Amino acid sequence: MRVTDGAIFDGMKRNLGEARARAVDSQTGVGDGKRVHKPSDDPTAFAQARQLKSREALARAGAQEAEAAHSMLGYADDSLNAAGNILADARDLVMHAVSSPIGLAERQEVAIAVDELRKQLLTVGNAEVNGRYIFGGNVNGSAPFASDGSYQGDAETREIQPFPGMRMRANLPGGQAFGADQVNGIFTTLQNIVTNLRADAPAAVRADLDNLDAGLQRILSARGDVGAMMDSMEMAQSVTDRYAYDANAEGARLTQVNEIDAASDLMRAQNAYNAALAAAQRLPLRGLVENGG
Amino acid sequence: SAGDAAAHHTALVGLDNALAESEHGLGSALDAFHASMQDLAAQPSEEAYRAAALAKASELAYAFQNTAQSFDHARTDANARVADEVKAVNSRLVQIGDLNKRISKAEVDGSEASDLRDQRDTMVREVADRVPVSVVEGDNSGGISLLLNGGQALITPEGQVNQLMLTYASNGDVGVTKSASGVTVDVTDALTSGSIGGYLRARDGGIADARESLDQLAYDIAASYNDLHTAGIGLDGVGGRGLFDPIAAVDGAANAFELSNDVAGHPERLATAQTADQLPSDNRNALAMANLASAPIALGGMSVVEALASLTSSVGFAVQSAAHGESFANDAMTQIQSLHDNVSAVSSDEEMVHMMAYQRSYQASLKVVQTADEMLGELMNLRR
Repeated sequence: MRVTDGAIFDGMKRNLGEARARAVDSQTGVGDGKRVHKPSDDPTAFAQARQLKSREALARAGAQEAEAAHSMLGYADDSLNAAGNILADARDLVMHAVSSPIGLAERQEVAIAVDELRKQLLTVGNAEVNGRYIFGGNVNGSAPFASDGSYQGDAETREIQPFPGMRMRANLPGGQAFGADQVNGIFTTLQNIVTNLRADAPAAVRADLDNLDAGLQRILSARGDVGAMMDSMEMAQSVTDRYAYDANAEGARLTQVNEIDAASDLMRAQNAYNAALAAAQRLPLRGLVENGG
Repeated sequence: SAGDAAAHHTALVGLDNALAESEHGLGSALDAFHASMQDLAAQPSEEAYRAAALAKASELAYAFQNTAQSFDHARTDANARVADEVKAVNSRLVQIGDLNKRISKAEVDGSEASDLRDQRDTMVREVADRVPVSVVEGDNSGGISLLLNGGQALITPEGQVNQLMLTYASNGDVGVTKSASGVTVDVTDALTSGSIGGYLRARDGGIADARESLDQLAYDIAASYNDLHTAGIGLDGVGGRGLFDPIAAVDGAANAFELSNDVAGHPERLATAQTADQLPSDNRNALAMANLASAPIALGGMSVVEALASLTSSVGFAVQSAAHGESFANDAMTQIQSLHDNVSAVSSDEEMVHMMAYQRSYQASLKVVQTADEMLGELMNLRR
């Protein structure tokens, strides 16, 4: 086969260009750690990584929401704990007032104490965090409980969605916790007890003990509900955190270089480029033009 | 041809770069918007989350417009390159026509026209690199005809040149026509190869398809969110507002994607509630809008995320295929060039050997003459 001067120089130019391009590509991969920068680098991997990135973003947002909801439910749990303690104290006082041989004056003092506890319970029922009432349902324009204990909120439950398809309750309406929507709700019961103590009517007070116990039981049940919701939020946070982590890891696997392979490729590409340069320096071969004639 | 493949690849690269992953790219903006809607659903009464949702919606609009402009630049660039290449073809056609005449005159006069033929061959190759042409040798005049794909004559053997002309459609797209004997013919569809063919194929194929998908995605997102937002109620108790400006048609939707003036700057107007009696904590409409991130609302049944991934993979495959095509065409060209050189190019060693042989022949001839001269001289000396 005839090897012409033009073919020699064209081949040298082409080999140098290709070796240099491979060296630059390897350098870029090692430099930023990525092997897929644009869709054309690996269309399938790019598209999959794009979807994983989207899912990761949603999962991280969901994890934050679950964490925030868990925190809010934690405040609800603390409040219900305080409410339970208040009711327990009130029960102790009422038991003393109805079972001990005490006089009117002492019953009046118990009435004052129970009324104070009722006001404390109102404060607990109207607790707010960052401007939102904990026990108001979906109503936030006014406090859930009026001074007379009547419930001003609603029975709506609020849901969050930490993950597509994963809807979770994130609140406990005050009516459910304090029974304020019922005739024998806790505030009505306490008010009745105060009134009957002031009227020195221990029999009537004794009759309200059952309602007081029912109220205490309702608070304990509400704490159970809140506890279950908190467990669900913890689970949701764990699931979404894990999903985000896995999505990130899979996306990295698809688009990032293996550092060892990349370093090896870079060395190989650089050696090939150096070899092409050395070969080019030896061309053109000394021929008859230089040696003959 | 190599020119066709290179042009096709060059024209599509702009799409590839527009969809590359970046902090302010379309994908990132979409992710941030979806996350903000999810946050809003969890905290519908919080001013900060409402403001963030509006900001992310605005950034999404900007990302769509930016991507659409990049796609438009790719189309505009392809049109500009077609125009430049047509001018380059016309310039060479004029030169070929002139060379036809000079070759004919030289060969009629009996002179050697090899250099002129070589120049003409170079010009013809440069034209063929741009448009699909076939060469027809004339009769013994030495001239050639250059016929465009489909038989339209660009050059006659007598040297008549029918240049290509540009036309511009209302959308800015370039077309190519040719006139001969007062008749103008649209030859755009005949330009199926060459660099002009490559640019046209990219413009009307890959670029147009990508732009259509982008517009459809923008249209579907705006329509779906607007349907829900219009049905919902803001903190001010007012409903019936869209989240984005209504888009009348799919064509151009990405450019028209814009946050509605009804809500821009007014976070309280974001319609997170379904009924006014449960404001401000009612998040049911916000939850419904957050669900759109995974709902099949785009491109005929895909989620928005899937639709964007589909768009990027289509563009990626088109650019990758064009790159491979260019590489293959270049390799084929190299091989053909090598075969051509094998027959007609110069090997300096070979020419040196020929020169040495001719030198020896000349030296031998000189020796014969010298010997004959000496013999005659001797003969003359004998007679004296």
